[in-house]
Parts: sequence; structure tokens; C-alpha cells
Amino acid sequence: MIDAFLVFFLVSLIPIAFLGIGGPTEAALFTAWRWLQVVTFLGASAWVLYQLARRDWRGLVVLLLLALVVAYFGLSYSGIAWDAQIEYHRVLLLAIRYGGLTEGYRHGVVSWVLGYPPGTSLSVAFYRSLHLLSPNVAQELLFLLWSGAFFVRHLRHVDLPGKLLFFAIILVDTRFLWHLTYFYNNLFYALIWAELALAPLFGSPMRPWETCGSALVLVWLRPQWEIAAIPIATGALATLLASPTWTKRLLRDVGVVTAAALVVARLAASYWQNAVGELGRLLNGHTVQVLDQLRTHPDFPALHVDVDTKAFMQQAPHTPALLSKESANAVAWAYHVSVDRYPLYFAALAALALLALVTLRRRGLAFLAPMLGPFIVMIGTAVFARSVASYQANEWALERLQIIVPILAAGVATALHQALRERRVS
Amino acid sequence: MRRAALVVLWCIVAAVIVGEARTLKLEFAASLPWTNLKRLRKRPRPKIANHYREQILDDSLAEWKLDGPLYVALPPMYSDTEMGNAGFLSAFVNNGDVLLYNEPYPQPRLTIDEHMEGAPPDIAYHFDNRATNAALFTRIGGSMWPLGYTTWYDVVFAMTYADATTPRLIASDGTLVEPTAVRAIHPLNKVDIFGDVTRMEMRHLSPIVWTFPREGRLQRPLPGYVVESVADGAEVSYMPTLPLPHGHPFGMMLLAPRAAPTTTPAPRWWPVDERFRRAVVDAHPVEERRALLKELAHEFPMHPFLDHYRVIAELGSDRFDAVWLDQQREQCVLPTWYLVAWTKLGWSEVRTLPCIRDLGSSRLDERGEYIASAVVLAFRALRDDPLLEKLAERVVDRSYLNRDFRGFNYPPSNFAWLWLKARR
Repeated sequence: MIDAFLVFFLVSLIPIAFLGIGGPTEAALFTAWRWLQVVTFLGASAWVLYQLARRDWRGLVVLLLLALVVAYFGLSYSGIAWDAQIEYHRVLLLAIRYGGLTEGYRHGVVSWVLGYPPGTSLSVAFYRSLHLLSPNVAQELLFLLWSGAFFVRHLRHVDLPGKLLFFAIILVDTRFLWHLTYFYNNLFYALIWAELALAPLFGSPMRPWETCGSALVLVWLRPQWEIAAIPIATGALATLLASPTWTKRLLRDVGVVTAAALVVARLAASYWQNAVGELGRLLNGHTVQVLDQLRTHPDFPALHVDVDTKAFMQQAPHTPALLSKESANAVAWAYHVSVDRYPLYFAALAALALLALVTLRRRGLAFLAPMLGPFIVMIGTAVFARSVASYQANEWALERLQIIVPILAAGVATALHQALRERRVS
Repeated sequence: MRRAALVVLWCIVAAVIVGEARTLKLEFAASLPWTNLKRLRKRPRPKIANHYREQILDDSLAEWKLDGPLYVALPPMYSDTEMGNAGFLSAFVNNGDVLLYNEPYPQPRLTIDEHMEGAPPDIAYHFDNRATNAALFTRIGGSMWPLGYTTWYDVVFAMTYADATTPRLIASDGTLVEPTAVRAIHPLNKVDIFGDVTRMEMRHLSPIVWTFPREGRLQRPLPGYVVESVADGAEVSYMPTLPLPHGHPFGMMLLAPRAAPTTTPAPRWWPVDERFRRAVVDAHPVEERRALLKELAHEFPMHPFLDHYRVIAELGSDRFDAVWLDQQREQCVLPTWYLVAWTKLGWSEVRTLPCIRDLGSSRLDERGEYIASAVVLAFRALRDDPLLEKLAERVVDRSYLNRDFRGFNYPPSNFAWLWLKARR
């Protein structure tokens, strides 16, 4: 079965490959892409509905129930949260207005627009093409598409209670609902992360192109390839642990695919970093040009003020060693932020992994793998803290990245339910 | 065993669902989706309101028919308003080339250069508002921002209703003369007479004019009204003041010819007023400004901005310090306060003026921040003055950036941050 959501997302990212072309050529390509995206969205949705109607009517029922919940959130539209305005929606408006990403960034005015790759912006571009109410509505439609594609691709053999419990667990989380209300990149990031980490537990491991495609999507949603490496690695580990026996061929295949996905993530991150440099120069050049144009009128006399200061490098504290008390504090801080925000989900992940180990023995080890992801994020905070001394100033960023925890808990519960039901039947 | 495991699994799931459901919180009122659904069923489809008012600037630019490039001064970023955040606002501006920056009123012009010891020049702070051609006009706290200003080419704002008393004339034979018509001189404005009240739908700060069939004098002389004779009778014009904060007005003061010009015949004093304002904004010689002001005062002695004009007409002249001090000695006059940085007065004279005296010792509000930051800029050379240091600290203390994000070399729209940094 094709992962329709991933196909849609990969099509949505195509304009990133046009960066740097600029002018009428990019504008023509961008316009063609906008309609291609609409066609892909409608085609992917129709394909998912057809597959569910034909093979999994229970999945279709759950999807329809989910559509009601999503419609409720879509109609609640009450704005766009902070980052979304600056990083995603602004980029989308600029790209549409100036016919492509390159010209859009040139007119970006503030360099904040370069803070994230435009994956999130592009994913909801069809909301403008179809005149939907807001990008939030488009995001919710994509959540529905992801859910449908997840049913078709991974939950086909899960019974109705299993399907229901997956969504019941995530939809009672206040922070998940916050993400459904507002337009944010964390939601898609977490869904793709979850698919990588959970697919082996459902007996439907990702195909090589899906793993590499997911790596690309992750990095073009959030530019740090090191973070994208976490679900790639935990997915590979889950694949190995879920296999009844370890053959050389299995080890080779998993190793090659994982390495390829990491290379894709690394290259995609470098591509974006290079683009940021070039686009930043374009943006600054254009701004200077506009200011010069405005200044050409009278040469106003101005009050000029000089201020002598010291460089911040001299005022900044030293960078702590990786193995130091400061690093330990950073990890402890990340642990408290994560576990305090999602206490029940962390407890459930641990309890379910233990239950899996007790009941499934060797196969139950695979249920430990998804849980590792959030903990690696906590440990990684020590590395982040070395370069950003004020890392504690924005704990919401960590909290939102850890939105993966409820989805992983729901996925592990569903997969374990399926495994136990299968054993009972057999 | 498997059955027991399934029971345990469902118990764990139930515990999570019940536990999370108990603390479940939506970001919106539960009834909002139904309300929105009802709205959306109407034709034409209304705009869905949202609490961020995020598109207000974009919609307003379209309404005012303003094209770029516009370089707009914003209130201080940390003045507790979404209108002070360039990133937030620019996220929804899709109308022309619009650049937004936090800075004081962009006239007179100001440039600031930070020289950072031991660092490359491109990471130091540089400020230059010589290209700024507009200032956002918005409410922050209980006041309208900008609190201080000189003058403008045009002021445009989101449609505001304003009522004026309908004037009547007393003819030379003592009879009462009623107006026969009223007109707005700018295409963005509309006006209608409703008996004793004339209601204006205003988007542009410019006069309205009543037409009378006969000449006469005003029944009651009112501030802002002036009579002039015309070929077939008389006309009375009225100049409104800037909108007040209680109506939540929102607009822009333009320092360049960006708005559409007036279309219908204007009163005699209006072109003089326009020429005067443009002479100030474009820094024309002081003699020219004085002559225009004299002519305007003759044509329209009750002009609502005349006292303000008398101070700004002297900007850059040797009389400016005295005129400014005379005005500020009587009471704290906010519109001209920030011009203290363009005087050559001493700190000992300024620190006793009502604006500083009334600051008190409690936490500064927007008004206090504006007053204090102006004197920090004006007397920046007095690095060891304890009162100035205290004022600067109180200004910076208002900012959440003082506690969070300290690592950024962010541009201070009030100068105090940079000045304090220079002392460390």
C-alpha cells in the first residue's frame, strides 16, 4: 500500500528544489506546482477513501468520526500562534504574492522568515488555492489525510477497538488539541516521527523510499538533521527488535536504509543552510535597495548618536564541557519539562513496554524503541545548551517538540493491543 | 495470560484517557465553532473575528489605498501590544513593500551607531530612520502612540465616526442662517448633517466644510471652526483633532506623499496648513516655516494644532530651546516632550520640569517609559548621573526581554538598553 500522506508531502516540498531560480521561470513552475498540489491532495484523499471503503469499513467509520472532531476544531478558528505567523504563514503569503519562494524571501523584510525551511508553509498552500477559511483548516485536513493513510498503510489489520483507542489517547491531550487549534510544524513533524518509530510494531515496516522520503520531510520541516536522526535510528532499532530472527541480510538492509536516510537528512539540511545564506543576502540587498529609494528625497539632517559597548562574546559565559555539571543540569531541566508536561503518557509508555516484555518476551523488546526518542531529545539538550546559553528561556519549544510522546504512547498501546489479539486468535 | 494482559492494557489506556480528560482544556470557547458555523452560512460570507486582529494592518492599507514602499515606525516591542512587534505584523502584511521597525516618531531624523569593542562591525547595532516615511498610530495602554510627534503629510486611520456641532451663522441683520450642505474635502471621508449634529465617517485627518447661502458670524465661536466668505455666501470649515484612545483608533501618520490628495475645493487655510506641515517634515528653512505659521494663524486663529505648531516651527532655530521650555514649564506636554533631545538645555533645567517631576517611583507605564527614554537619549553623555541611570533601568525593566532572551543584541526603540549596556 502506498503512503498517500507521504506522497502528498513530498509533492508539497517540490518548490524548495526551485530555490535560487527566481524570475518568471520559478513563477511558472510555482504556479504549476500549486495546481499539482491540489490535484495530489484530492487524489491522495480519494485514494485513501477508496481503499478504506473497499478493504476496511471500520477504518472508514473511525475516519468519519475523526472528521467531525476535526471540523469542530476547524470552525473554532481563532487565529494563528506566534511562530506560525512569522515562520510559516508569512512565507506562504510572500511566495504566492511574488510567484515563488525565491522572490518571496527577497521581499521577506525580516530575516525571521528564514528561521525554518518552508515545508510547513508549503504543506498548506492549497488552502489559498481552494479558498479555505485559514491555514489551520488545511492543517486539519492534512491530519485527516495522515490518519486515513495511516489506517490504510499500517492499521489495516487492527480491529475497531484498537483503531478507536489510538485516537482516543491522543485526542484527550490538551497540548495535542492546542496543535490542532493552531497551525504549527510540530504536528506534522510528530506524525512523521511516529510513523517511522511505530511502523515496525504494526508489522508493516517502512520501505526504503519511505524512510528516505520521511527523512527529507523531517529536515525540511525543522532544519536540524540531528533531531531527524532520532526517529530514523529508533525506527531502525524497532525494525531489528521486531524481527523474529536477525539475519545478515536483515542487518545489511536496515543498516543501508538507515545510512541512506541519514545521508538524505544531512544533505537536505546542508541544502537549506546554503539556501539560507543566499536568500539572506537577497533579502538584505532588497531591503537596502528599498531604503535607498526612500532616502533619495531630501537629505535630512539627523541627530547622530554614537555608543561604545563591549562585544557580547566578552560578556557571555564560557561554553561548558559536554561532561559537566552544566550539561547534567540541562538534561535534568529537559527531563522535568518533558515529564512534567506529559506525566501520564510517559508512565503509560513505560507500563506498556513492561507489559510487552512480560507477555511477548523477545518480541516485546521492540516496544521499548519508540520510547527512546523522547529521552534522546532530553539528553540532546546538553549539546544544545552548549551553544545556546539561554536555552531555558523557551521551554515551550521543547514542550512542543515532545508532542511526539502522546502519539507514541497511543501507537504503542494500539500495536500491543493488536499483538495480544493476534496471539489470542492464533 | 494474554487475556489478562489485554485487561491490563485497557486499564492503562483507561487511566490515561480519564486522567487526561480531567485536565482537558480547549484554547477557545466551546461554543465558538457553532457561532462561526452560523456566521459562515450567511451570504456574503463575513470575516471570522479573531483575537489577534492579525489582518487589521493589511486590510487598512488596502482601504487607504496606500502603496509601498512604506517604512513604518512601530511602538516599542515590549509595550505589551501586538502592534509593537514587527515580525507579528509583517506576517500579515501583503500590500506593497512594507517595512516595519520599532522606533520613536521618525521626525526629526535620528541615527545611532553602536561601536562594539572587539567585535566585527556588522553585529553592532545601527539605527537610521532617514528612510522612515510613516508611523503607526495606535493605542497602547491608555494612550495613543506615538505619544510624541512633530507633524505629517497626512494622517489616515481605520474608519472612525466623529460628531461635530452643526454650525449656524448670524447674518448682519441678526437672522439665523442654516447650512445648506456639507462636504468632506478628502475622498476617504464622508459626512452628513443630522440636525444639530454633523456626523463624519473619517479615514483621513482633514477638514469638513458647511455651505451657507449668506455671510455672517458664527452663532457660537467654537474651537476648530472658522468662517470664510465665498462668492455666493459663506463657508464654515471644521478641523477635527487626532482620534482619542477610547475608540481604539488605528492608523498611520505619513511623512511622505503616499495618500490620495484632496479632491473637492478646500478652505483657504488648508493649503497653508499643508505647506507648513510639509515644510517641517522636509526640514525647510525656519524663516519659511515662521512665515507659513503666521499666515495660518491669521487665516484660522482657532486651529486645534496651533500651539503645537508654534513649537515645531522653531525646530533647529536659536529660539527653539526657549519656546520648548516655555511650553514644558507650564505642564507636561507629551507631543513635544521627546524633542528634548534636540534642545541644548542642561539636565539641571530639564529634571525639574513637570514631566520628570510627576514620574513618581512606581513602575513606569507607557507614558513614563516615553518620558524617561527621551531624557536618557538627550543626556546620554552624563554616564554617571544616578537619576538617569535609575530612569534607564526603570525603562528597561518594563521589558520581558530584560529577563528572557538577554543574549540578543536587539534594537532598543527607547535607547535605554543600549545606554545601560555601554555603562557595563
